[in-house]
Amino acid sequence: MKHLMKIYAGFFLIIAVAIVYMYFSLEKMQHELAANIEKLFLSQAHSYALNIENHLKKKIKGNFHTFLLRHPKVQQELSEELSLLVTDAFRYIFVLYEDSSGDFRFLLDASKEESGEFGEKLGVDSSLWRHVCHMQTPQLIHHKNFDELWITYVYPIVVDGTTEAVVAIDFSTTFSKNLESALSPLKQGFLYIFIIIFIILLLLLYQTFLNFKTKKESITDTLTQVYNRNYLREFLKRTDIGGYQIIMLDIDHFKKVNDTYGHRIGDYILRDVAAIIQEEVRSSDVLVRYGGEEFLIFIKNDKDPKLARTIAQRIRKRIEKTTFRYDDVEIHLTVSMGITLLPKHFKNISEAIKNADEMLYIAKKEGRNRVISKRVYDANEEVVQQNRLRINEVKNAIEEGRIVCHYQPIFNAKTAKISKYEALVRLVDEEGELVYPGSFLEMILHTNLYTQMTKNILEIVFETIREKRVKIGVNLNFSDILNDDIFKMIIEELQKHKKVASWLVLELLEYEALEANESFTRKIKEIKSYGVNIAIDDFGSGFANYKIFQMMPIDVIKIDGSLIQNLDSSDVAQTIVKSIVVLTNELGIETVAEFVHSKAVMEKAKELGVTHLQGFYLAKPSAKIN
Amino acid sequence: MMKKVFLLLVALTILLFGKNESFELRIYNQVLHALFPHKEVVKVWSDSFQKRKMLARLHNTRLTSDPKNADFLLVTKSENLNVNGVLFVTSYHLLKHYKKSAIGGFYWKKGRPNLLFLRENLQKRGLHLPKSFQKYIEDRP
Repeated sequence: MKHLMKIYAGFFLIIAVAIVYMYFSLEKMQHELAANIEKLFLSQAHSYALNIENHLKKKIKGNFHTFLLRHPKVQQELSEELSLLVTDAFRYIFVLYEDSSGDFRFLLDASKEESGEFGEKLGVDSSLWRHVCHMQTPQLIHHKNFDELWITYVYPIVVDGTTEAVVAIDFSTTFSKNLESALSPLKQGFLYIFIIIFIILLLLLYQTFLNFKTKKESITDTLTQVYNRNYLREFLKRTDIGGYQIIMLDIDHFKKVNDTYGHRIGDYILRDVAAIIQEEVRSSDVLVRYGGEEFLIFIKNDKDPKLARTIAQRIRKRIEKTTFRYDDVEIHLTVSMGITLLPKHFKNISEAIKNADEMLYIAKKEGRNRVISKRVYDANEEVVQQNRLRINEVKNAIEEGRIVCHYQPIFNAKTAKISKYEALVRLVDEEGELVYPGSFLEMILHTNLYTQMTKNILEIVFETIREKRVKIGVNLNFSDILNDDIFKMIIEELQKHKKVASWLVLELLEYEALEANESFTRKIKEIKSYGVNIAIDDFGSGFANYKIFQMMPIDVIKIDGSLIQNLDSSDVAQTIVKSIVVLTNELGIETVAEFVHSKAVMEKAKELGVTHLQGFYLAKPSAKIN
Repeated sequence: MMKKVFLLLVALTILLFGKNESFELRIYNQVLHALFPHKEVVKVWSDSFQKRKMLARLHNTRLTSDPKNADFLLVTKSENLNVNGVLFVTSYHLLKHYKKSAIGGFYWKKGRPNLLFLRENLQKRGLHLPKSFQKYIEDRP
């Protein structure tokens, strides 16, 4: 609609400019024509004046006035001769003289009509005429105040340095009027065309306005005056939703309001809440009444990932603080909102809106009057305060280098000093927040992304070892060793930087079912040959297979956290750990107790002979190694 | 906007074709003021319908049908008039015709306005013109 208006406006402007240009061109042409004709007439008039001068000088002896006063016959003859020169263009031709008082009087007159008598005074602009007499130079006088006269050519006749007379040749206005009247229809034509086009355009504009009005009515919710679902359909068709964040808003307990105060008040509430939302969003955002008391807000956003949340909180607080007054009723309301921060990560727009709706559901479930943009799982779902990401988000994070490592120290149980670190992977999401592996690792386990991520982690760990020269353990699956790309990468690094080997600990996750695999054994032995320590992670959980000690050159056993967590209180756990320690002591293998979360657990682990300790009680993972 | 432009063009056209007439009206107004500076209403008469119409447009005049009753008579034809009022003519030819009685005349010659007063006749009637009119006073037509 806006484009149509612009086209109309442009069209109108072009036509208007063209017509105005033509009109003024015509005007200019008229002036130029008049000026050229004036020049032509002037040259002709000058030639006439010269002839008259020569003729009079031949016929008149001495002072012109005295001679003609004495010779009325000559006067008459000359007047008749002059009359032959009068044409339609030259309105009057006559000869005047200046009397002693500075007035101008007739000497000769060529005109038959309005003929001036000899000596008759003629009302002329004396100052200009005197100027011609005294300066003895011809002059062109323009008449602006009279109907008949256009211009007068005044020519002095000088005899022996004295101005004896002046020849006056008047041009009539006939020509300029003819010119004006000839061009007038053309000019009027332009004017009428302009008026007609103007009227047509006005009608078109009016029609456009009516269309616009009808269209607007069809896409506007009559009650709240915000967009309705019709508009939403169009909006979604023509908009790249990637540039927006989606807020789904619902008025809390609206049904109660309707039931208690009636639908009239309910309508007022809807109208006023919509008005508040409209005030709080920007003109670039889109507000849609999605259903009864549900609103969808599309927040245009390319830069600030938290913008939708900020706006949503602003709306929530504003509505919470507002007292809605209708008649004698005062109502306080709250709203709940669900947000989809990254619609582009959804399969389609419906999924993104559905996600916002799910977030809204969570907001309501958690007590209303809140804004939810992330799913938060409870302990039963084994993911605490972690965010489940989508595969695209992980892919973007890998591509954009948002995979990082945090390092948790592992202490020597006897000396209480840090002997090494465990590298723990983290993902930094688009909002700059840390996401734990529980939210993304499992979903990419059997994809290429997993390999890519493992390689990224290894790169980070190698670099940290080279820089910090500390022992760092990195978690790998058995399948990672079997992966040629990862294996090749490790070997190349070990060959390139031989010292890295002595600082590197490969912590192989025990939970993967281990099958006798020659290739695996060969590869792990090759790695080990460079001096790399091999550790078995989470030992004691899953498939605690003692065959593993025969298959691999193990340096470290990391006892599973589930055994250590209850070590201070569970006799069974103590017995299992004790037996693991006996076994590893016999084999000359270090032990690490993970998940040491309290002093009691730490003391018990020490008492049982565990050689190394790791856990939140001792130190939390950190981005930096001091 | 276009309507205004159109009206302006019409107004300009009217002005263009009415220059001489409005000029003439201005001249008569000044002449009457000069001749009758103390008269609130000057009774005017003319033998021409056009001139009567024009004189009627002046503020301080009143048309009269009786020439004998008129203070100012504007004459366009050569007739024998036996009147007391001030005789004013509309051509050089009439000024010569009424050279004994007319105090002056205003006429167009060669497309130019000509105003002329006859000294003798002004004196005869005891009329005195302001300084600005002195240049138009002639001893004879």
